[in-house]
Amino acid sequence: MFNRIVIAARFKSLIVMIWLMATAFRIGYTDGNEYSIKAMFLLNFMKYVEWPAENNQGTFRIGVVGDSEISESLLQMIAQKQGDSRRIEVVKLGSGNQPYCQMVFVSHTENSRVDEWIKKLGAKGVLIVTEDLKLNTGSAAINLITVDNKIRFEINQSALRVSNLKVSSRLTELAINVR
Amino acid sequence: MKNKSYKIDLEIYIVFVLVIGISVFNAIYSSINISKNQEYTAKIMTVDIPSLQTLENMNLLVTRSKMYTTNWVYLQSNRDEKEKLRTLHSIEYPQLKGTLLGLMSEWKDKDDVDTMKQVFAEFDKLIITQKHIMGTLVSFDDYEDPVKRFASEELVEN
Repeated sequence: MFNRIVIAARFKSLIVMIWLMATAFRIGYTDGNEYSIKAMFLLNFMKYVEWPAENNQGTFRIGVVGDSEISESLLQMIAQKQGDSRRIEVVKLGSGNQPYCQMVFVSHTENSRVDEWIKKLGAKGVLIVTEDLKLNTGSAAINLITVDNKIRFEINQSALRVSNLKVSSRLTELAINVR
Repeated sequence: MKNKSYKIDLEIYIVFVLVIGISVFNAIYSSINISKNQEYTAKIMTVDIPSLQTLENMNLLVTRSKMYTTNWVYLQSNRDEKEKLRTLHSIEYPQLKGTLLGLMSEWKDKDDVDTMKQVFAEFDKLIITQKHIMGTLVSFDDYEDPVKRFASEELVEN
């Protein structure tokens, strides 16, 4: 009788264990939309860029400058990242007082004023990501560009050094242009 | 005197009948117990222990499938494990599922059967995701494509 109780308990614990293990990886959250892909890029940059310890505590803030659908895409993806212990906030940045953001995305609608924004927001420990910046000569660390209808990115190492950020070699391998 | 002797005979007779009755009861009770134990033992040997072993194999199989898929994403040139993942999907899992379904028909607890059916459904969904990754990261160019890499990494990390 005792054996049967032990076996039944082991039985149930094994089934639960397999159930937990077999729970599917979350279905991919990019729907192929340009901004959902770009949002996925930003969230992955978080993994491959190392911020100084003093800037890498508490809530991770992603600031968005200009009109962009990326805010919605980011919010949707963050909502799906339930397993992550770190809180991520998306902040719309404007002309007023700005909270510190570890990452700032400058929409292409602001490309004509990109240097101005970088000067204003690009302090140490801030990763500036731009999009479709034709001549990425400024101090944006990462520029998202579309090549052959595919979204790719360029890395500006000197801008990363100025911002005191380190980037993993895994990320530089995937960039189409590293300067 | 004769009356007293008759009384002793009756007492001996009653005690004798009682002893015989207890013995018969004991024999019947033991026989039922032995029979029940044989049934339990047979069930343990033919259903419970094989089920436990198969469940342990299933647990290992699920763990291996996740490990091989993670390595599929991060270790492009690991062909050996890529082949193992294909074999796991096409041969090992269908065989193990068949064995387990056979054993499940002997399970008495219907809750366990229902839970196990849900486990199969979850793992089937997991296999679809794993096959999606296998189909996404095929060539060298696929591994150089940040969209495919990031999307696959997101899938295995969650």
